[in-house]
Amino acid sequence: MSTQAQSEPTHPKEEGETATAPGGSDPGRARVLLFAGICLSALFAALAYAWFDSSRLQSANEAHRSETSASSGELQALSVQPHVLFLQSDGDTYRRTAVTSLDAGGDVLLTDLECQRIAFNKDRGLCVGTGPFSGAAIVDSNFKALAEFSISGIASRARISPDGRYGSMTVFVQGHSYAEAGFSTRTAIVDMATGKFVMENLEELTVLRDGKKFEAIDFNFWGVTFQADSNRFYATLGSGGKTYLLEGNIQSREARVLRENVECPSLSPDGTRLVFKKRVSGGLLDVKWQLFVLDLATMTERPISEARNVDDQAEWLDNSHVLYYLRDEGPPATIRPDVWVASVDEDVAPSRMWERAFSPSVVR
Amino acid sequence: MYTLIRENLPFGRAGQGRSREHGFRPVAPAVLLLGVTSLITDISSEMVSTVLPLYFIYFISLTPLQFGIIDGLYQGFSAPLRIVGAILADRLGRHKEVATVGYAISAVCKLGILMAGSAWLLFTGILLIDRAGKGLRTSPRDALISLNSPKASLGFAFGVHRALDTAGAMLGPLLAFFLLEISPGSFKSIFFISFCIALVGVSVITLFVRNKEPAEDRRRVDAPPLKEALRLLARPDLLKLVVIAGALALFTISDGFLYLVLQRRLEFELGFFPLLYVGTACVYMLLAIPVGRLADSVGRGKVMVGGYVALLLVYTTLLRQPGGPAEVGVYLVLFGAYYAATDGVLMAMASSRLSEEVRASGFALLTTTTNLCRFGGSILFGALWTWKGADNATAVLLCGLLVATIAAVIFLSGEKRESDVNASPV
Repeated sequence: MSTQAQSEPTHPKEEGETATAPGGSDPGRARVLLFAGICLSALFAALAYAWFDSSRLQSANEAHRSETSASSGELQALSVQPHVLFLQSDGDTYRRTAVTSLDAGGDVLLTDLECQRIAFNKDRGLCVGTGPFSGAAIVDSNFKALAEFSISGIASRARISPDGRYGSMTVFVQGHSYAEAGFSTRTAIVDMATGKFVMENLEELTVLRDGKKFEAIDFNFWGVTFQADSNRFYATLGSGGKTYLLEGNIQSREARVLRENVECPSLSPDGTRLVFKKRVSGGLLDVKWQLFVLDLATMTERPISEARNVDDQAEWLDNSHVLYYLRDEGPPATIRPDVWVASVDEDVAPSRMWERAFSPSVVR
Repeated sequence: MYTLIRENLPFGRAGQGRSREHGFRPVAPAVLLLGVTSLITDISSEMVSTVLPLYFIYFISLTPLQFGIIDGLYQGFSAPLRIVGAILADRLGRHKEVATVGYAISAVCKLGILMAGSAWLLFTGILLIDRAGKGLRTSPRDALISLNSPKASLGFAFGVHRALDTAGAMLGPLLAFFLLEISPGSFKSIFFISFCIALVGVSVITLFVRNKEPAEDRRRVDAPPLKEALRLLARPDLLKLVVIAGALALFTISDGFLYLVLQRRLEFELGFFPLLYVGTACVYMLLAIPVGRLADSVGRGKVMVGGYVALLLVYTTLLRQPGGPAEVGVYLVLFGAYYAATDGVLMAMASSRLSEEVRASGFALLTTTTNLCRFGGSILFGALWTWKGADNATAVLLCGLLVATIAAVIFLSGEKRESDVNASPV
C-alpha cells in the first residue's frame, strides 16, 4: 500500500466530475491514513510542546508566588512616609505589585495585586491590565478592587493626578486581522472617587493647532500627565506619523498643540518641567527614543544624562531625578526589566534602582 | 489573434436541468477541501496575529510603530509576487502546487516566529515572507475553486469557501485566548501549536486536492508573464470588471475606522469593541452560502450591487447619530451582508470572464487592483479628512461610492444574461 501511495500522486488517475480522490481506492485510503498520521503527530507534538512550555512557566511563577505577601500592618507602616510602588517581573507573565521605600536599599514588600501598569496616589491605585488583553481597576490602600473597568486593549500607561482626583489610562487597541493590522491607542480619564469615566476617550477633545481646529482620521492619544489643579493635563497626540505635545482641559473638552516630537510627557512635582521621550532616530531598523527635559517657562529642551533607548513614560522621583524602566540586555529568554534612575540636571551616569521592576509610581 | 477560447466545462451540462428544478447542487469535493484548508490555515494564522502585538510590546519591546511599518511594506511587496505566482500557476497548469507552496511558506514562518527571539530585523523578514505566502496562494486557490465548479453555481462554491474561511478566522483568536487563559504567557506554545495546525492545513491540500485536468482544446500561452497579464486587460468585459471593482474599492474605508466611528457615535463601553469584528464576521459566515446561491440564481452583478447598497446604508452612519444598540446591530448585519455579497461573488463574476488557462492570473490582477485601490483610497480619505475636515471627506466618500455603484449597475447589468447563457448551454 505504501508503494502505491508513493507512486500515485505523480500519475493522477482519470477522474470523473471532480478533481479529488475520495477515499475508496487503495491509493485514496493510503492518503487518508497518511493524513491521519500527520494529524496525530501534529496533535502529539503540539500537546507535548504546550505541556513542556506551560510547566516551565508554571514552575517559574510558582517560585515567585511562594514569596509571601506583606501584612497590611507592614504596608501601613511603610505608607506613612514617601514610598514607591512598582510591578515586579522577570519578563514573563508575573507582574505582582510591590512597595518599597524611596531609597534603593529598603525592603521590598509584595502585595497580591497583579497588573500590567500601576499608578498610586492619595490612598487609591489605578491598576491597568488586570488581564493580558483588557481590564482595569481602582484599588484601595489594601490593594483590593473598588471599581472595575471593562476597557479592552493592551495596557500601556497609568497616571493619577497630584490631588488624587483623576486617573488616566492608555491602552493599545489592536485591529483584528479581519480588517487590517495596525494599532491605535486609546486614553481614558476616570474619576478616582466615583470609579466612573470622566472622558472615555480623549478623542472627545477639540484640538486646536495655531488657533485653528486640527482634525485627522488617524488621531491617537496617549501618555497623560496631570497638572496640580488636575483639570489640566499634558498628553501626546499622534497623527500622520508625527507626535505632538498637547495641553488639555477636562472641563472645556479642549486641547491645544504646544510642540512637535514629544511623547509620554511627565510633569515634575513642582510643575515647571516635563521629561518626555523624543524620537531621535526612526526607520525600519532602528527606532530610538531618548529622554529629554522641557522647561515650560522658556519652552527649551535638552537631553538628560541617559543615552540609551527608553520607551517609557518617566516618573519623577523628586524635582531633579526621574525613574524609568529598561530591559536587561540579555538573550530573549531573560528579558528582565529593571527600574533606573537618572539625574535631570547633572551629567552623571544613571544607576539601577530596583531589579525585576517596572511601572514605578512614587507616592509623596 | 489572441482571442481566448471561452471554456465550456464538460460537466457543467449534465444535470443542469435537474439542478435548476431542485434548486440544489452539492458543492464539488475540491471546493470543500480547499475550504477546509483555508479554515485550518486561518485558525493557525489568526491565533498568531491575535497575540503578536501583545508578544511584541511586552516581551520583545517592539513598538506599535514598527509593527505598522511592516503593514505598509506588505502592500508594495505582495502585489508583484501575487501576479507572477498566479501566471506561473496558469502557465504550468499547477495551481495546486503554487498554492501549496504558499501555504507551506506560511507554516514554516510560524516556526520562524518561535525562533526569531527579539531580533527585530529577523521578525520583519519572517512576517513579510509569511504574507508573501498568503499573496502567493490566494489566486491559484481561487482558480482551483472556480475550475472545479460548474459555472452556474460559482457563487455557491465561493460562498462555501468563504464561509469556511471566515469560520477559521473566528476560531483562531478564540483558540489563542483560550490557550493564554489556561497557560498565561505561553506565547511559544501558541506559535508552535499554530505551526502544527498549519501543517495539517498544508497536508489537506497536498494529499487530497488535485489540479483540474486542462480541457483538450486548451491553448498554450507563451508570452512573458507581465505581458500576458496586461494582455488580459485587453478583454473588454474583464477590463470593465477590474475598473468597476477598483472604483468601488477606492471609495471603501477601512473596517477599523468604521468600527471606531460606530463606537464613538454610540459611546458604548470600550470592552464591546471586539464584538463589532466578531459580529460582522459571524454574519458574513452565515450569509456567504445563501447569498452566493442567490447570486447564481438572480445574477451576480445584481447581488454585488446589492452588497454595495448595503455598504452605502452602513456609511450613512458617518453622517448622523445612530439610534441605539439595535441600530448598530442592523449595521453589523448590513456590513456582513456586504462582505457576503461582494468578496466571493466578485470572484465568481471574474470566473465567467476568464478562460481556463488564465484563471489564476486574472484573479491576481483583479485582487491586486482592488487591494491597491483600497489602500490608495484610505490614504486619500485620511488626507481629505485632515485638509478639508470630516464632513467634506465623508461627503466625497459617499458621493464617490454612489457614483461607482451606479456605474456598476449600468455596466454589470449584463451579468445575469451571461450567466443565463452559460447555465443553459443545451
